[in-house]
Amino acid sequence: MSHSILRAPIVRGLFWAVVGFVLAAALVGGIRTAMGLDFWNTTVDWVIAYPVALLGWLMGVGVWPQWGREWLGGKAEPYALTGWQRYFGFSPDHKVIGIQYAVTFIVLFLLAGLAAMLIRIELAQPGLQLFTSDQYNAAMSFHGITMVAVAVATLLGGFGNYLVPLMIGARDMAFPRLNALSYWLVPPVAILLVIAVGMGGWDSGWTAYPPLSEVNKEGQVLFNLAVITFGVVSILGGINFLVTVTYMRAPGLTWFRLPIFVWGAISASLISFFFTQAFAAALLMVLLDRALGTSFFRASGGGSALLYEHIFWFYSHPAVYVMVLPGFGAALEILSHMSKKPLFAYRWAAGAMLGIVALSGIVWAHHMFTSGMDPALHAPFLVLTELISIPTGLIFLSALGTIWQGKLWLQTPMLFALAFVFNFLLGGVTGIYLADVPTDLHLHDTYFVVAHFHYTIVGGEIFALFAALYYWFPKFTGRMYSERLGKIHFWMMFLGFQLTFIPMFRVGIQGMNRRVADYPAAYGEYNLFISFAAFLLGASFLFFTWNMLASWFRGPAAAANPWRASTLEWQVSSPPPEHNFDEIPVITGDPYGYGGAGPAHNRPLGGLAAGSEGGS
Amino acid sequence: MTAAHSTVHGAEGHASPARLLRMNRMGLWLFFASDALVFALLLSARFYLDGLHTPPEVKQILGLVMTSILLLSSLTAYRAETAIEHGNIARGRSMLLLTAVMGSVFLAGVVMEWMLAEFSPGDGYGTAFFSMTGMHAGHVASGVLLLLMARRQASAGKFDGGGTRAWGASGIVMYWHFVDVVWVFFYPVLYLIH
Amino acid sequence: MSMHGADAEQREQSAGVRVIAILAVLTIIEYIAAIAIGASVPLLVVLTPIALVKAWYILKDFMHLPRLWADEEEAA
Repeated sequence: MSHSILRAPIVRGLFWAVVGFVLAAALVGGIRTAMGLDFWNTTVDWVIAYPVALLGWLMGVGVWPQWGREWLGGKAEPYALTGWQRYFGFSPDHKVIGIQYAVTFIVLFLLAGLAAMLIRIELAQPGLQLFTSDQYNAAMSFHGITMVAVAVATLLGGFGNYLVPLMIGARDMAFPRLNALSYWLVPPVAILLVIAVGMGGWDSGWTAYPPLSEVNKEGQVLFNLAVITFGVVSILGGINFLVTVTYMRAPGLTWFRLPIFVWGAISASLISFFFTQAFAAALLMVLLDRALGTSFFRASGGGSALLYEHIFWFYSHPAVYVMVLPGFGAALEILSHMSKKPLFAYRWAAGAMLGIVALSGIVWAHHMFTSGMDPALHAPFLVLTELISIPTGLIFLSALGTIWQGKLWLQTPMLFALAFVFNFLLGGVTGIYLADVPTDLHLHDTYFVVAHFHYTIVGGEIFALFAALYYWFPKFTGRMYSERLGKIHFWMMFLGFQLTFIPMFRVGIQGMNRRVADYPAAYGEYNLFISFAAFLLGASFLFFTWNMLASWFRGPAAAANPWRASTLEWQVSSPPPEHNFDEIPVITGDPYGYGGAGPAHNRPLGGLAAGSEGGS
Repeated sequence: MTAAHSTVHGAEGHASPARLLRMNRMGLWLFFASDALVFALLLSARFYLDGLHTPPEVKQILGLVMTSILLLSSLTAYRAETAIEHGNIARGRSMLLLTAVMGSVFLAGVVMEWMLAEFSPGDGYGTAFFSMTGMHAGHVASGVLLLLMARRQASAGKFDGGGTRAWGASGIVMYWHFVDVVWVFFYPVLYLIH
Repeated sequence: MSMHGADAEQREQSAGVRVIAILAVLTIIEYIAAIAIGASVPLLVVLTPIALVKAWYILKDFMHLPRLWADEEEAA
């Protein structure tokens, strides 16, 4: 028994990671000693030894036997893991990888949510209760970056990987082993962030602005390495989706017959493969400044911290669309199937997603109106930013047109999808005040901003994520969740969310600053209320977790197509067979053939064609 | 579940070799586009930090020699690819080796330049110079390793017959050319403008 | 490319030599321009198109960019 545990992929990966780290650190130490420096320097050692450790981890966890041997002209071992062990090893199966992403990031979501609860305990009263200021900054920073990662990767990495090949009638992704490699880069990211917190954390938030990020504690170095690694995950994943959808669609599945979720995945992939490296490059520059003494951002050496903000936001604004575009896709998908109506203005919605991709790259400086950049940039970035409301509005109209006069089936996924529409409207409208320079000068760095982006990312993307989670849970696990617990989760989360974040708009307008552990006593009553509402929001996830665990292990078996939906993933068993389709389906109609001539739903595979009259 | 699994998972299961080649090609080009943005950001940082200023201490002759070596190595890489695509594995192997050697000479040039540099990484130009040449050299070093891997695969018979089977070598050679394209822009920006 | 003939290979090899000759000439022009032109902007005006042309030749002839949109059979 102990023998087999020692051979487990994760154990091997950890072993080789440690070996790689120790060897590299020893080498660095030896050279440093020879140069008359200290043996150990946290920054330099981590920057050099971590990539070696990462390589060791990847090879140990399964890249070497299943792929690496081929690079040297040898033969790779066949993939041999079965049953539950697949989830703990290097598996090329997109369905296994999808579940790996989804479970990993939901665990991280709960962990970062716990950090949010601690933050709310601290903020319930003026003064310091739970944390020192430094610990507060660490908790806030950990919450921020972990939630950003969750928002970027759960829908696209988890649901995208699981569903896109099924929805396009393919047997897997274009590059299955690259896909597995991308996933196995994720645990090191989580481990680094946890070690960083253990080392006392870092206090520069998820944005890591210099000059602070160049002079603070070494936790910052680990943060930078973690995020650069995560950037690689995002880029490789994006490339994989784009090639998959371009070349592996089933016969007859033209671009405008793709389910809208696939369009969401394509749009998000376009952004993640083309913009993510900016964040990575900015953090790399910080590392170079710290480790080699370059002066990208050090004013004393002629550098400029503004340069960082430009590079950082060049990615980090588009990043919100990496988060939210798959959310749009999932929500529209569910609204259509649960209203039993074709998706309204399908082509406009798909085009709007591409429009958002195009605009996303030219709006970044609206985050910098108060930074001291050239005021000549204010007006163009104001206008460009507001332009985004046009494609976003199209998606809204598509959502509203879809539910209009539909037979709404108010199961848990539909409730979440409807809440997504409501929340994102509030998030979008409040965004206008932040895109407008005159109001932003007042609102910048206040809780208004916090409330706004929580409405877009949590109210929008995370609600869509839970809609997707309940909707596809039967497909993923082959079991049905408890509708009662799902509805309790929904109402607690929905109410808790509104009660938490609406008052934040108010205190934000009154001038309460974000990212500070303490605040003037005048904000005390509001904050106490917000904290209690936040605990309600947090408590809803107890029901969620219970529901998920109990249903996965003991829930009733799910039918192949419990929602009587028309897209391809529902035409195979739950969970789908090993190779998805015994025979690659041939597509002759659009994916939302409701309301057409014949009974449109619940057709056998291949009959998906029939409802094409019902299309958009 | 079975041993057959790994062949069915993925495109190998149901795509023709020609289709598979196109997929690999598209993936690689997307990677190039993605990687190019990192270099483009470093390049813009050079202008942002230090404008057009190039200190007179920059070693012009060394720069020109290194540029020439890297350009020439693209020719040998091209010869390797062409030979392997036509099934001429023996010539392909020797050309891959020659390319890797030239890449190593280029790397030696970078090291020499760093040791001779009369400007520090702490000023504007130095920041740009060391980070840009460093990032580029990192790519050259990985390229050398990849070329040696391709040579090893060629010896093991992976490219026998050429045609679509030559992709493994072809992709690595494309990566080598990509690193060369980066240098086509970096060379004037770091050495020539003033 | 289905031909395995030495002829086809020879033809492609000499195409490569032609490209490298162009690259060499352009590099020498770059180097001389940097010495001969003192003002910043005119030098940029000369160097930028040269770099773009060099990159284009490598992308097109060495990296086979057109193969991306060639027919599937030809592309192989």
